Amino acid sequence: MSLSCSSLLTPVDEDREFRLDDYEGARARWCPGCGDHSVLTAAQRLLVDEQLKPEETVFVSGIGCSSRFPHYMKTYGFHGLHGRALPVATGVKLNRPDLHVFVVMGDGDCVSIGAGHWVHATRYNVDMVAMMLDNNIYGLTKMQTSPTTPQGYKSNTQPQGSWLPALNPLEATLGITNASFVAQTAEWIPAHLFATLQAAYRHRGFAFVRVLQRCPVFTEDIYLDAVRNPEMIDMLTHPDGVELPESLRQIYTSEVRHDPKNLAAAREIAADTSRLRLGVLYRDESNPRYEETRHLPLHTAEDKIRILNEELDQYAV
Amino acid sequence: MRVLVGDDTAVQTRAEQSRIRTTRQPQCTVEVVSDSGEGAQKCGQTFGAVSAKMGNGVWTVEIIPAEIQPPPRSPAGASGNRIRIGEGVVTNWGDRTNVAIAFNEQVLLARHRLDAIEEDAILLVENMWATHKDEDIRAEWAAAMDELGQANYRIIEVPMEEECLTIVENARKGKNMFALGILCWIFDRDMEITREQIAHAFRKKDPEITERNHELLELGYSWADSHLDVRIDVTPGLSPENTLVMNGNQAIAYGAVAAGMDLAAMYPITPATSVSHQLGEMFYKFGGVVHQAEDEIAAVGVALGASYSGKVAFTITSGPGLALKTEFLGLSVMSEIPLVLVNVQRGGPSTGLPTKVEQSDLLAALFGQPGDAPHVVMAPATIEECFHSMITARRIAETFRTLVMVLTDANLATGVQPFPRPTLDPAWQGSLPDMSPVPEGKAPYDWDEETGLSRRFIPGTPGGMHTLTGLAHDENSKVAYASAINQKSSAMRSRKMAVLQSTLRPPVVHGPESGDLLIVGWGSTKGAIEEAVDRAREEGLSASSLHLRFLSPLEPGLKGIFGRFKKVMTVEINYSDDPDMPYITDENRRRGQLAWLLRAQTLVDVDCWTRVLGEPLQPGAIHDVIRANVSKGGAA
Amino acid sequence: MPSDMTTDERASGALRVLEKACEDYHSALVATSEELRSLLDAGSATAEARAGRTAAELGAFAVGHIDIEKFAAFERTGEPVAVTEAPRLEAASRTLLSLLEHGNDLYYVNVDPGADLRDAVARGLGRAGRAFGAARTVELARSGKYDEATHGGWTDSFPPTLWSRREKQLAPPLVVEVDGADLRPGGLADFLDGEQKIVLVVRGVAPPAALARLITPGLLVVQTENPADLGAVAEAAGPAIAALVPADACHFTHSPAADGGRGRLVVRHMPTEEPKRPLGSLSVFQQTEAMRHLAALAAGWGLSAPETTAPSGDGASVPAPAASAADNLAAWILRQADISGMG
Repeated sequence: MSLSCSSLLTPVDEDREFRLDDYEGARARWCPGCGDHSVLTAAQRLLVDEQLKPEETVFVSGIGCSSRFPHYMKTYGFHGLHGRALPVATGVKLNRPDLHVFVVMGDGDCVSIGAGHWVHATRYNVDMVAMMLDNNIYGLTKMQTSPTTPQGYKSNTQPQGSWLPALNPLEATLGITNASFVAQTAEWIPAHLFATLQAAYRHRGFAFVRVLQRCPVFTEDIYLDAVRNPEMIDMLTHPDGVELPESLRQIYTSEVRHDPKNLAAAREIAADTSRLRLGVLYRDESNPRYEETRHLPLHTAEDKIRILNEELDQYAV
Repeated sequence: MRVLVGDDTAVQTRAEQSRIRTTRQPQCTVEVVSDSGEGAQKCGQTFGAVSAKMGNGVWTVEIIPAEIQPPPRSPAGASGNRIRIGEGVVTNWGDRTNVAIAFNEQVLLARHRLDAIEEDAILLVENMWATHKDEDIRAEWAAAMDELGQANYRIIEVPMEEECLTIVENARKGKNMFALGILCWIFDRDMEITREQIAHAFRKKDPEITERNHELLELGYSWADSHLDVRIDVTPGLSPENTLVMNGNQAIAYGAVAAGMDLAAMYPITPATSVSHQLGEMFYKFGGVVHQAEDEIAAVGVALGASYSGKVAFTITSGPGLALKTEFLGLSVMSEIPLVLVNVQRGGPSTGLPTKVEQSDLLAALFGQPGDAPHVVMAPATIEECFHSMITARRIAETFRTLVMVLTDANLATGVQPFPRPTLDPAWQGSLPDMSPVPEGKAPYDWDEETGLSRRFIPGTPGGMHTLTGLAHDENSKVAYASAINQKSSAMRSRKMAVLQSTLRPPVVHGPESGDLLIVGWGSTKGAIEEAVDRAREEGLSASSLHLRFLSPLEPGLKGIFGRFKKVMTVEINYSDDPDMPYITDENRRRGQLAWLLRAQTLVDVDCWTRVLGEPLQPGAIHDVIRANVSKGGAA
Repeated sequence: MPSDMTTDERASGALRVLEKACEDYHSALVATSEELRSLLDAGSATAEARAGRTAAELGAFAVGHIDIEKFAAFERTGEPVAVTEAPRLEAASRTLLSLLEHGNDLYYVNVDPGADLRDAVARGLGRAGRAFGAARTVELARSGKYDEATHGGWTDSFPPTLWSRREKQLAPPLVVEVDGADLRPGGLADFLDGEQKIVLVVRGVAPPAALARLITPGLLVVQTENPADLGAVAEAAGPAIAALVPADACHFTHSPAADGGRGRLVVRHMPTEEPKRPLGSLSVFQQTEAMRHLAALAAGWGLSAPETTAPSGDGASVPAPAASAADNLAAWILRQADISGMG
């Protein structure tokens, strides 16, 4: 147990070991075949692997199908407002750097209604994992065009097909000053998804992970070819990013060595949408992290009163 | 009447000073006005601070230009300070100005046209414009002096530029201290204190600057000594011991620190922003954070996220920001995360009057969140209360797991007043939230059926894991699917307000507890209302007043108190229809916001008198209202 | 008991370099102390005392506007602290407050000439670690699991051998002043775990490569005469140890954060001659072995020659290439490093 900057009070059984069922919340109520299930499993596996205490882990979400995510975890969860997960997560982490913070957003959440927060959270570079579960559509509200809907793709709001080219979240995030971790993975490749989330968790800073995801009801066809034809996917690998898990080597044969330190190359890769590319595009831990703006050490109540008294002297008559 | 005192006047000898007349006044209002950037603010602030240190009651108000960079010598550019000093405590900015010192005639004209100057006021004005090389300026001067000359002012021309040039190269940078010297002579200020105050004001600058300013001060003083014939004695009657002088925003900031809060999230907005300026420095010393968010929504989101994870955080804003924060405020109520929001009210709607006072956000504060969102709304009435209200607000937010809004306004925010130095108590910072392991079977909304109160589970608390949600939810924070759940959880959130109300004390009436007229006010108008009531009572009128600090839940016993008066009316700085205007009927009349609330809550026919002039109410104006509503024989 | 007050300017300099870690630990002490105070306030008071406290907490604005007694009646009271446990909580609270009073001297120990370095470090860490002991005492007492026989004395000393994984992550840094003749750092490996940072400030003549023996794949090891090099210790993710040694000793940095090969071991200075005389209880052989060990590691990584710079003159010349056994050891360590993924 701890409050604010790392109190030392911790439960006596703190060295207890956690298993998968320690992280399992309510039964997930997403549609069968929804990519969210796969992300949920990967996240729970990650927590087991890292042995994160459930009570010291917070999943913050917005509104949308994927934002039900925290309900299915047995950690702390904050299922807040549409598009506003990032400010909440920032507040949590600024106040409690000791907590492990994960953010789960949909594409509408992250790059539409909450786009301003996405830009600034990237720049703040507060230590957290920010997953954008991108199914290219508004699912909860029944098939409206999202910013990442492919051009020409038909929806209830644009029955003639999306008029505009899809927004490229990777390219955009890489364009934001002080971005420190940008990765892309796909929900249908669990081993890669897990490895990417792990790399994101271990990164010190704001780790933005776009998870390509199928909506079995509205956008099943978007990634159909890529799911069936692994050769359509380039795997970006590097010791400083993610390596291709052994189990996938036979399937994903197009491996591209990409040093995540190389921002120019990352931007080039992100901009070229002719092929799907999964892996860590960019990573730099040397960027300033906003939570460190907090000046330590902390002071006791008595100390604060003393300092405040000194401060008030300048207003004394 | 126009008296010319200038270079042509012979230098007076000491012997001639016997003609100097000193008038004693219980209170006096002084203005220093200039184009912005000429330092009138510093002159006024220093005069106010010196007066406070000498033991005068003081209330200082900024005169803010209507534009950021108005052209020089334009009426719109009038910038400066209005300082009301008194023998005893001064609780408001008073009525009209008695003494003004202006760096050009146009800003003075602006004040005259705003009806801000008392009929027999003494006006000191820089006269370099009379002989300016620009013909247009000379013409403007002549026209302005003509217009001012129509009134019964005593106008004294002062060769500020010429005098200052004997000491400094750029008189524009020095006139304010020269002007201060003149004021110090007129009001017989303690020069030692004045010099100290100047040194303090310029402590971060080159010591030479302080020295130069001291010289200018002396120059102004001695010029006045040899050229003026009127002095005003406002005898200091207070003990300045253990007194602080600050504005309401500073008081809010230090109150927040004293309350143990250490995370403030905000987005710059006038007139709230300066709170964060104080906090930025203070919090850094404590390990706290002032987060300047990317927008108003993010600001409240960060504050809410922080509060959710531990100690109560707060956000500060003004009207337009309050509008943007609405959805998160609803979430705070729905999920019962404590949060403190300070709304420094300005004129609205929309961008409105960014730098000017209004009390028009009351109903938006109470009811602005879609859905039923009961929460606490408090309003400090003085600068001192700005400080102390933050401590209470945090405490209530924590105990009741609720949103607490603190409404101040531009009048409190920028007004400067001395008040007793608080004896700081570490207990104000409260206890940390309980994070002991949650016993098996305890729910995150384990509402007490009677009170609606429950323990808050904070991340890090073993056994307390749950997902907080803005959806309707049951005790376990599970999304409500059964029909009765929303009814119950709504009742539980609402019940907390009734419980809090049961702990409030009935308000104390200023004046007799029954009579002809009861004026009801809230927020920054307290001083002006009470002064007006006191004046009316001196005239034998039967009037009392009552000032509310809690607007939600409303303080108890109002209906009973109202019943003891023949007439009840609110006085507020927000818009209400004048009943005599076309089409306005008793049925369709839009009333002041507090009046609206009181009528709804008490079923008493509460009348109102309100103004939205973008300035604080004057006691004289309220006095007139009382006269109009009470005759010597009873309520009119 | 030796006096643990910093006298050496190098020691205070080292504390300044470790300022962030000291502040973090100090902050943890403050946070814990405040939390404990809240616990004691909430859990122990009578209704009357609670109302008094509520009145104080509500402040002056409440006066005349809030009925304090009624308000206090609605306050959730914390889990009451059992009467029998209250003294333990109070003892823990006193411990934390006394540690706060130490200021930065909490992170400093002085080793008297001839005394054992390992013992002194254990004492220093055990002293700062009392905070962990105090926190554990609180938790044990509250959960009814406190047992005097097992846990008694944890508020007086709580050595690193008892620290949990989490506590090791929060480990207090330590600056140690020690005579060169007593510089036998081998035993310190026991403490180098989690986020532990130790800086040894060496007085007088020192064995040339004492810290070389501590080089293992995941440990940052710095031996230097330049206090500026200590920055690496402060910034290291993971355990780290450094020694401020005389100019004529070996100067090197072993940095696990560097990529597997290049830059992992940088030797900035190597004495031209091997030690000739015993130092304290350190024989010539022992001193020489450490130096050869360093050279062997450097050679094994193929780095000594190109990476060597000699700020103090002719230090670039490196002793003869190491024996093949050392080569093997170096290769083995390198392999371990790669496999462990810690590089």
